[in-house]
Amino acid sequence: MNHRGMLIELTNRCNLSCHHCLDRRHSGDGDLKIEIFERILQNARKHGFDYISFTGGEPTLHPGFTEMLTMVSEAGYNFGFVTNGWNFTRIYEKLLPHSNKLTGITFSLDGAREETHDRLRGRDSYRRMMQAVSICVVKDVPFTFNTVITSYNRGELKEMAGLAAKLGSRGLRFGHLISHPRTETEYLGLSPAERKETEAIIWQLQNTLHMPIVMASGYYTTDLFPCAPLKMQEISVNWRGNITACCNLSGHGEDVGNDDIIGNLHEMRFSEAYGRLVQANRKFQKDKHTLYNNGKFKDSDYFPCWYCLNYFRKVDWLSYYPENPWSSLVWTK
Amino acid sequence: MIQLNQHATPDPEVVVTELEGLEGKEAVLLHLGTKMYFTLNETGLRIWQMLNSGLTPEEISEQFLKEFDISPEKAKESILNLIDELITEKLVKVADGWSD
Repeated sequence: MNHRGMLIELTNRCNLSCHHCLDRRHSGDGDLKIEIFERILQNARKHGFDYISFTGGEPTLHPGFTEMLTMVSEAGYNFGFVTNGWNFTRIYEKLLPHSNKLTGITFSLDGAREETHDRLRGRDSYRRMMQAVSICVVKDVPFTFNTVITSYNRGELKEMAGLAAKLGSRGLRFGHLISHPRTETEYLGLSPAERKETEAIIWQLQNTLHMPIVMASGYYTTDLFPCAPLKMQEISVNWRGNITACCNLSGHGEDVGNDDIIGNLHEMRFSEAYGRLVQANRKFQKDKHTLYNNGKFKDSDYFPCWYCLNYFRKVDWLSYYPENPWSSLVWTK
Repeated sequence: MIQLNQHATPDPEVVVTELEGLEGKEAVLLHLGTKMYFTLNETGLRIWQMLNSGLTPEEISEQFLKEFDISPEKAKESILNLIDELITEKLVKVADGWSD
């Protein structure tokens, strides 16, 4: 059975300021309104969604986080969340009563080594996450790791897999960096060729470890519609109450395009926004088919997130960085 | 084997997490080098805290007699046994010098 999930950005606030985080996205003070969250819970199941994932920002910073745990659990949804782990010693006891609905916690691990992780995420962030992981092990809370591949950590992929396995993680997911101006000024991004090299390492790791190792959508593939959002198996709501085409597009800084924002739940009913998303998805698929059938696909367009960043005009800023290997691959208007 | 007047200090590579267990406070130790976990009950946690404060096993034993209803012999035995186990697991290191 395919589970369908809703990714809900509870807040754009974050206690960390990671170098690879989307610019301006997590330096704010916006929280999803509880009444919007309540409406989502009331309506999502009618459209076949049975799983809720809290994202952010740092979702545990939402002032109503504890209340939301109770709401989602009582509404009968399975749930999980992505966290940097910093607040886990403070909040873990609130989770335990809902452990029958908690499918797992995803910790953001950005280096096998303390110095690498802290270089990207800030001092002590590695040890704070290890405290969180320790609690999960003792309290039997399932957890996985998520790693954004950058130039800082690309040499530690095997080490990260070994670390995750030894720590008792149920899995490890790697994902490519979503580029933005800050990542360029700090040389965090990988070229298309370097991305393919890292993917080859990850595919190899899949065959050598018992622990599940996956890549988040965005890797090079000839499948035109490889990801959960395009299959309508996953939809995203940002902290403003916007239903968006994908969480990786939402709130992208220094961009011009906002066509990925489908509708706002403050202004329309959930079912109406969902209907618009279905329509937008069909148009996207039709457009992609057309481009592909007309032979206008570049090799880089087989990186699905790169394709979407172009489609929704999120990477026009790359023209200011002509030496960036992706710059010449940006679609012309 | 650790001696009563010998200093032993927690390895800086150990991440300590205190949490509420079914029988009171407890702690989980994670060694970042070996990636091994080790749990301490409330008594073990007190020993760890006192090691971290720089006390020798003898000084910990004296403190234990004030805090717990335990005989001096039993206190010393329990403390030395735990510290030896922590040394074996590379969670604490024996200092080179001896206490005065």
